[in-house]
Amino acid sequence: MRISRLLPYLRQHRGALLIGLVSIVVGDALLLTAPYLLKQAIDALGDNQLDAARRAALLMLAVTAVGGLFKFIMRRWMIGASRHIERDLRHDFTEHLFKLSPRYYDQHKVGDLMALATNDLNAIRMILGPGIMYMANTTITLSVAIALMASMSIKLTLLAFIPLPLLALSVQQATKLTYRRFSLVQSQFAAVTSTAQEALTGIRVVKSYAQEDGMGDRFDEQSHDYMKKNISFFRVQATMFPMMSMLAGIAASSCLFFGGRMVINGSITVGTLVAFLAYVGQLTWPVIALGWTINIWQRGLASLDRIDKVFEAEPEIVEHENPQPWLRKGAVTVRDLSFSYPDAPTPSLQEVGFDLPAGSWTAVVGPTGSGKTTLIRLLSRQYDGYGGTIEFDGTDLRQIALTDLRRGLGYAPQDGYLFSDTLRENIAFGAPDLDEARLEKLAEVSRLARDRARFPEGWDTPVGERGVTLSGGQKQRVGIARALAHDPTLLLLDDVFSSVDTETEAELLSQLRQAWSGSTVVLVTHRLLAVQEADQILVMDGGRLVEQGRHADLVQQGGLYARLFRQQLTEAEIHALGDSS
Amino acid sequence: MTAYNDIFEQEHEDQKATGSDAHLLRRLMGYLRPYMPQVVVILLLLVIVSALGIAGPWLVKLTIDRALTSDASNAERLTMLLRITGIYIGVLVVTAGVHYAQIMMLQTTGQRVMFDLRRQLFRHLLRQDMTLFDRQPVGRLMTRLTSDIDALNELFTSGVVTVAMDVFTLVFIMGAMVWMDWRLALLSFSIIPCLFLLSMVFRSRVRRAFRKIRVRVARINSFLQEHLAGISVVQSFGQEPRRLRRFDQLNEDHTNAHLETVAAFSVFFPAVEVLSTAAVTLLLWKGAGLVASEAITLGTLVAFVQYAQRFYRPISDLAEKVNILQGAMAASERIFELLDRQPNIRTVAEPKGSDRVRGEVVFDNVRFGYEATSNDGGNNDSMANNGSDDEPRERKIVLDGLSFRVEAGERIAIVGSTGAGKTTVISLMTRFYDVQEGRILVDGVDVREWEPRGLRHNIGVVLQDPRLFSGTLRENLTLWRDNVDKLDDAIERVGLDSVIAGLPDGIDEVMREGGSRLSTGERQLVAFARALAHDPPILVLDEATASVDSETEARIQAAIEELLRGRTSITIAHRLSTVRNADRILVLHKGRLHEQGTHRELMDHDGLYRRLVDMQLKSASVDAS
Ligand SMILES: Nc1ncnc2c1ncn2[C@@H]1O[C@H](COP(=O)(O)OP(=O)(O)OP(=O)(O)O)[C@@H](O)[C@H]1O
Ligand SMILES: Nc1ncnc2c1ncn2[C@@H]1O[C@H](COP(=O)(O)OP(=O)(O)OP(=O)(O)O)[C@@H](O)[C@H]1O
Ligand SMILES: [Mg+2]
Ligand SMILES: [Mg+2]
Repeated sequence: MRISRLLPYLRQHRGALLIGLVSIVVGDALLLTAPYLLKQAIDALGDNQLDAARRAALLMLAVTAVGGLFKFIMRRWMIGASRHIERDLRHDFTEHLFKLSPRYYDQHKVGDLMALATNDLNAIRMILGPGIMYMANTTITLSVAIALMASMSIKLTLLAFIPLPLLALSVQQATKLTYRRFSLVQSQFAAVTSTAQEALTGIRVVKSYAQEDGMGDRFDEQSHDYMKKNISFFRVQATMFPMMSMLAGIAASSCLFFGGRMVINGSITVGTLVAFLAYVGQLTWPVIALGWTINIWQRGLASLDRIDKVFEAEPEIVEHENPQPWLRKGAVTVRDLSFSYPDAPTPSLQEVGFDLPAGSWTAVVGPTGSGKTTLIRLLSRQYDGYGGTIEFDGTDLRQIALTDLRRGLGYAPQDGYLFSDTLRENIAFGAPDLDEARLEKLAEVSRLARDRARFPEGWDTPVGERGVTLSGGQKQRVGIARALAHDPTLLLLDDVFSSVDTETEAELLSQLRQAWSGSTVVLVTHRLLAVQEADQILVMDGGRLVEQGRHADLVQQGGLYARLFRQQLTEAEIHALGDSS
Repeated sequence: MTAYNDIFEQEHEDQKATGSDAHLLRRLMGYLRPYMPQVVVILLLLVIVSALGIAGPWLVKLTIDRALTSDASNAERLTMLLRITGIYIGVLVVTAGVHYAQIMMLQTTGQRVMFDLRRQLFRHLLRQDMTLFDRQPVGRLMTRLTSDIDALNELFTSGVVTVAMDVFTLVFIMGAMVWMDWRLALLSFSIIPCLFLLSMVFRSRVRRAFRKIRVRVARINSFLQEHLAGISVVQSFGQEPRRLRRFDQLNEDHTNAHLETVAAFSVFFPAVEVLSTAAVTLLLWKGAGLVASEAITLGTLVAFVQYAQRFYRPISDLAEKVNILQGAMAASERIFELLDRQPNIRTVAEPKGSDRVRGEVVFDNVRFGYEATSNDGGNNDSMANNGSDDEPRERKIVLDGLSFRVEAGERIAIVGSTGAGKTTVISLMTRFYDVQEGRILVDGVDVREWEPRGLRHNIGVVLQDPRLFSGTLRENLTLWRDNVDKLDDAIERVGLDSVIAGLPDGIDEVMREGGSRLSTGERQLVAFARALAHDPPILVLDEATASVDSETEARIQAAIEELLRGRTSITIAHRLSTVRNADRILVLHKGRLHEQGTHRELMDHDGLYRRLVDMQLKSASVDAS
């Protein structure tokens, strides 16, 4: 049952909810005595008892005041609790999203998930606050009013409820429709969000190609659809509300007619009829609110279903039930490693095997799309569903305690994702307690120190979303510094020199070699000239490890590596030629 | 405190309003103008609904006075009763029908208005200059586009028009009361000033809270957007707990702002209820005397009591509406603020059109620095124009007196160390930013005199950071244009055909957000092919093949050789193999042109370029021997 997802939250705030519910009961009960007092006042007037009438009127005011107090308590606690529950739900939802693995994000759009975290969570909150409140309110008002009415005249009460079956029927229909149409509205909302998000994230491309209008049209299409779905949703509302008012009115009119006849017969007093009408009047609002309540509940349930789907997604990367510590020596063994991305027809890695001795330097090279990044992703345990084994210091990667793993790994992704924090915060991302001296050291190694003067506020300069205010090479170097900050045993650098000039690259590499001599380093690169001194070179092609060895041996073999290398070597020779002539 | 905090705490939450409520409302009403006929009909329907709404108590009074307490015969009284009930039911059915029509028209119009507004806002956003996007997180802009506009929708549908209905109802009820007995009527109205006072106090408190809510929702959105898009980094660094704690702060702030409104409403609603009961009590007190002295009938008093109760409903409704209205007002402030922002990049009165250029580019003593993003203005939530007119805050100069000339059809390469300003040169040429001093000419015309989009049509740029859109690969290549006839040729030339062959749906394969389905190099090929397919007279390649292996790169170079003939190309690269064939190489250093010439000339010159080449040579020649 989907609602069971909410039970723990309800339980946690049961105190507040209970106070709220009790206040509803008491408050409603008090407020419902008001028409009764009104009846007394009018009956007293009919009998010319002026003082009694006035007393009843005063009592009515007092009762309302006390009832109002309880209503205050109810709102304060019920709605307050719903806000707290919303907060907790959003926390848990985000926590869960943080646990979900890259594979999940390969298949879901961030925009969609954001819509869930805001809009849908709010719809769920509406159940918990106003939803419960109005439902309780309606139920209590209905039952107390009915009881009081019955105590005055059972016959009239029954007559007043002639439209009841009709009411039940329309409620049922409305419920179904609201749910269905609201689901459509919400998913279209997510589509609108996603389109906007993409256009804004890719604004540079959009502008470079003068595609503002094209993007605008795309967005219009989505939001036009959103409009249409909304209108179809409102059609249900537009039917429901007038319908409910009408049914309530019919109840009142049947009261008036039959009650009137009874007054004429002399079986009830005018005062009773007036009180009766007042009760029916008081019922009008709860009945209309019933429509609203249904709306809230159905919206909320539709959202709950959507959220539930995300909650049900199991994170792919989880702690092994019997986690092992990582010895942090840095030896890596890979055997028969094969991997396919979901829905990709061909495997991205096929039977790759190699050894990285502790403290060694390895370069991974190969054509575009040959699986280098995929290999790095598997080594940093971003995906689990691979064939073969990966062992760090003799322990299976999947068995190593996650915190150990994260602490011992330094990873610089190819797209160097930065956060809209300051430079300092970005560098210290994996090592929050980074001190100034170490920061300077890291900046030195990653050759960022040189650029410092260019940053208006030094290390406290914000870098903008994804680092938009940095140059390509600066972004990459911040990425490198970030990967180094927590002193990793195994350093995975994925093509992080592509936007760095050769001079800086050479400096950076020699700095790294000095400062990180103990770490095992895996370096993906397309610049072969810089990696000849690597302890080992892995050459990938089409997902396979086609060659492996030291530079000199590979050149001798005369395979892919030699070809790639010669490509760059001939360039170098041309330079050399140009130089000497 | 993390910087995240600092950035966000700078937003002043109690920002001054963009104008008075009346002003905001008037502006909002402007959006209703195209729908005037509908609005008039809606208002008419509203008048009918509220007029019919007061029929109930009136009929009750008639029943009591004419049918129940009159001296006529029982049969006559029964006929009377039957007739009144018949009228009552008729009124109910008509009301329901009219009400349906009214709600439907209202919602449809509301949705149309929202659609218009959303469309306007989105297009306005896309027209903004880069400074906005450098500063504003995408998540925040999206909040404006989605939930803020939805809040406005509430204003139209639940708000303005229903308020009108409540007001009509009030007027009708007041009219009916005055007509029945003016003394009792005045008595009932005596609570109105109290209610007014109450809602004044309440309103200001709620508005403040709603402003906070708007800001804080946007923060949550930005946070999520950023962290979910970068989830693999968060996870690889094991930072989930720490980031989550940061999120909790944002979440807590958001909740607290809501709790402020809860506190206000929990006082307001019961207070209204008590006040209105006080009015009824007063009525009974005074009315009792009048009935006793037979100044009024019992029926009149009963009708009065009923009216007084109905009186209270629209008012308490109005309170609920105030809730919505305040939220919407806060949202509209933000939206209008954004809409009022004029792009710093302005178009001159008669811009140069979009004809195809020859391709001559001149940088004449260009001086430029980015506006500092820090300090107050930087990440401030305010979207207000920071004005290119006023004296810029401290700028770090990136280009300092840069001059060079590119002839039409020339093949130019720009090299320079990282951060030297190469990408900036391109951004200025495509007019993402305006220069501070000097000028940039394309075909002899200052870029500021070009229609920006016409200019950009002429310049095909492959950006350093290749971004794909979700949508098919084909859409990514054509960017939703239909008339891209060079597409197949472009795909072949950059070698994208083999990548496409490997995709299940070929060129119609749906790309995921950001193109995560392809490797980085493959994405660069897509961006490259996209630029070629658009067949621009000026081609700009900013590290276009930096993540591509040298074999593929050499193949591409050979394949586009023929394409480059007759067009201007500007290539930025660190790999010297990419640049050596250029007609001229510009070496950028410290924001100036350090040296220029052909590869051969520069090698002879023994300057910066030579040093860079030697770096590569040295490492290569170790094993070359
Ligand atoms: N949007 C921006 N806002 C503020 N500063 C910026 C912005 N873009 C770039 N900068 C700064 O301007 C300087 C030049 O950047 P630019 O991107 O032009 O360098 P580049 O030569 O392209 O370097 P790379 O080779 O690393 O890509 C850098 O110091 C960078 O930090
Ligand atoms: N998330 C994904 N889903 C499906 N296929 C993918 C995904 N990521 C990569 N691929 C495919 O897997 C293959 C290997 O990609 P990978 O990113 O490992 O290449 P690479 O060697 O790093 O290339 P580059 O040098 O361009 O970065 C490519 O054909 C690519 O299209
Ligand atoms: Mg890669
Ligand atoms: Mg650059």
